[in-house]
Amino acid sequence: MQQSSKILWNTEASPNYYKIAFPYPENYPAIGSGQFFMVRVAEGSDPLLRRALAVYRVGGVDVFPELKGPGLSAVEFLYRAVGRGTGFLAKKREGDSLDWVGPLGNSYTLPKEGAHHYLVAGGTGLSSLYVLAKELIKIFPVSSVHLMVGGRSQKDILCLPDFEPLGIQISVTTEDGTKGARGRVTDVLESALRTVPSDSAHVYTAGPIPMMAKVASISKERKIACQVSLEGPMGCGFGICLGCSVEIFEKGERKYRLLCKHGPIFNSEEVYWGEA
Amino acid sequence: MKPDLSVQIGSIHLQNPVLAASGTFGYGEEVDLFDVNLLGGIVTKGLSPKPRMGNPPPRIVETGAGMLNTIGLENVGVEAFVREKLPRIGHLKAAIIANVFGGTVEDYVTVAQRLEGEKGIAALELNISCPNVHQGGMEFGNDPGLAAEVVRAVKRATRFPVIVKLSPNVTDVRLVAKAVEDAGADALSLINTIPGMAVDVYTRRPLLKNITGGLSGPAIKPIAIRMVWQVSKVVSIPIIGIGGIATARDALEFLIAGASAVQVGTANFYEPLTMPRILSGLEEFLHSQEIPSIRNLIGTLQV
Repeated sequence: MQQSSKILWNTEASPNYYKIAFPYPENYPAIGSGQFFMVRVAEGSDPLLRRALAVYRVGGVDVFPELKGPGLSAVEFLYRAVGRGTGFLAKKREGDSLDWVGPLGNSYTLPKEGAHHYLVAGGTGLSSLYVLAKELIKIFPVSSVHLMVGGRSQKDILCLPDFEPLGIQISVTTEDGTKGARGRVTDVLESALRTVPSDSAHVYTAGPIPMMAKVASISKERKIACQVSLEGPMGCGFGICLGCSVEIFEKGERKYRLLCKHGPIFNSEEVYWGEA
Repeated sequence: MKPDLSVQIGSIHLQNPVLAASGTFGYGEEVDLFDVNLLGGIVTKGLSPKPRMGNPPPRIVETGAGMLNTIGLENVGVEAFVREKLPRIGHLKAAIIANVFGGTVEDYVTVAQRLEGEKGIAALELNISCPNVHQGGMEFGNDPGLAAEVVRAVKRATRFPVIVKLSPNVTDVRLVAKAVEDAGADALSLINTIPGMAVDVYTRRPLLKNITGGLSGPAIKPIAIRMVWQVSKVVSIPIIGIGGIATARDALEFLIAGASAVQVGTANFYEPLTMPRILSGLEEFLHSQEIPSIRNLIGTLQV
């Protein structure tokens, strides 16, 4: 659906990282893990195209104590102000209107069984894993869900307090050791996977391409199912401009698939990682 | 009284002058944000004899008030269109116009022949901005003789009205317009995208994998209006205006300059409700100006 909504908050979560939210009543279309919205960052024709924002959190007062009153609910997005478009977005204030289209894209596939679920995040990739973590703990023991967050430095580790109330296991790594263990998140995943049988583990990842490519290759080596959330420029977000094609292998055959419609979630084995 | 928005493009009756441009509305069934029965027409994604997977990414880049694309005419092929897509859209009140392209005259004819007689199609639109593989890559649309040859061949192969979509990538668009009119075209649509380019200054690479792409969006609107006006002076067949149309006022500019209808393209990507909004804007304009029919505006430019 498309609508214009008043922004509830648009606050800096960490230098250059923002959380933006607007009301999302419960009778609106259900939002699945990994889905995204397209938002207009300015009126007029420059910048022309909408920007894609991955859904971070969805819910009522239980998720957002900021919401004033029972029965209210909201959807929140986590984004990094990197370019001109997201720069415009970062300037928006509470009460400004935001025109959106969503929810769009596919969702993570929830496995029927599995004793270990590893959610591996880098940067704003974390945003597509919150709803997934909540969906997983609804059907699996909370101790089976393990979030691994990595970044270059302390300032790249975002929003951990949002995940703590879920009760899942959380591991943090930074390359410079300023927060959590020193090292790479992919090393943490690799050692964790060594301790579990392949058929009981599932990996879900979102973040920078080199990190996801490494996560995919570690999972492949152990023959563990891995789903990845891809990112990239999109024209429309709903499958008509054909501008967001990504290279996919389907049954060994090279094909283009639309990031916005067939994705953003793909099985890692289908993805062509290029030079990464 | 409700103003009359209906127009005629040759023998094609349209309930209103607002159509979705080829390549910006899929095959007419993808968009569910409004009722597509409201539209005057839908021009399908370009159809070729065989399916095409299109160009490698990145395929699009945003530019000032516009965007460049190099989708590469990805499409399901005419056979899958007739079998799978047409049955789902042929019943709509919006006229379905099948866009056709090829690398040879035979390609155009093959697609036209496969579409011939299919129920639910109102007209064909020929994209002649394609390189002719037999003429060393020379665009059909760049050469009045080649353009006319395609039109004559397709006219022999079909009973559907034939609309020819003109390329702006020419020295004088009037020469090609006249040539295709003389070759039997029933209507013209213009303009297609304008070749353009953008560069990443850090990597020093083009931002599109294909290096160059077609510029579309509000940035090209003044060029398109100028070409519509120029062509309207030299042909007597109807013109459909295309190029950066995003508001009712944009559509009115084209109609006054000489277009009998308009196609909305890039705006469908960033503002999916553009076409229904243009329709209500046109109605409001006619009502407020006490003009009974949109046809009273067509080609009324005062110079």
